[in-house]
Amino acid sequence: MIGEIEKTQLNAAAVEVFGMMYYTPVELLPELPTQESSSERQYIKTAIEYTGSNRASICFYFPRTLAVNIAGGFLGIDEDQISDSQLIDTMREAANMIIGNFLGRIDPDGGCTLGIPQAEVTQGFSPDRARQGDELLAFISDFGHLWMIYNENGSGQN
Amino acid sequence: MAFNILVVDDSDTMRAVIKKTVLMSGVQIGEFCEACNGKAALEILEEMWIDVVLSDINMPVMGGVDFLREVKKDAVLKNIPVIFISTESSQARMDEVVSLGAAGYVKKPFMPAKIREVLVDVLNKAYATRMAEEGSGAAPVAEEQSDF
Repeated sequence: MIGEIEKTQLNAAAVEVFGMMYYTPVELLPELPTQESSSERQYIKTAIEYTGSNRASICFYFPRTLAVNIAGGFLGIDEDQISDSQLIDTMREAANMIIGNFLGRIDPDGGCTLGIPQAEVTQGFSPDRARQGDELLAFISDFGHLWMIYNENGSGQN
Repeated sequence: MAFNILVVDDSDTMRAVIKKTVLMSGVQIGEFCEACNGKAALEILEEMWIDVVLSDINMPVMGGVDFLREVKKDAVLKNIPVIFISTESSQARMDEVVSLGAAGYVKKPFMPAKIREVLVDVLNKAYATRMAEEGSGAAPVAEEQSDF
């Protein structure tokens, strides 16, 4: 289980990264939404882990519309010109920054090593993807829910 | 005086953003080079003169810390300033790279003005050192006005 302190720091990390780099507000929801409110069909699934004095694996599901908005603003190009590879690269970097920022907050001694994020375009998201031992979190954004599956044992992909 | 700059990051997107930030900074740019990891960056350094390197830490093949160690081992390359731009923001990691000889550190996420501030500071020091060695007067690295 992820603790309240870690949740608070994860939210702070996400808010800082999305606000400072992408000018897009996000906020961790105190409770999971009862159902996916958007009609989002595609997500950019991005997995990253850290190891060392603590370990965890984290899997983000960025709604495609959120990813397109972020990548368009970040790269300064029209949204209809953005390729899947640019979306994947941008969201890998977003996950890298969020978890790197999070580690800077909870691990000031630098005992953890951040892995290389992996990303792909995937169809749909269901909260059922969270397995036993996983913690499912949801962030609200102007472009749908950003889902995050956190496993403190670093036990693989969702 | 124009400076040759090398950006090392495994993200194409981040390299593009850093390039845009540097071009807007007011620093006069000669060649702008890019590499996707430390090993590729070393190959560029062997081929051409680079005045400053802006590097990520967390990269496949060869990360930024190993890259810096290789630079510092080389008698010719060791004086090239390396600035890290990285998500790894723990004080311990920053202390580690500074002790290894990093010239500066910018945390991601960053504001463009922060990149300019660190870049200009590092280039001014490097330029002043070079001019002192050559017995010439130093000039400012960046124009007073940037696009920030």
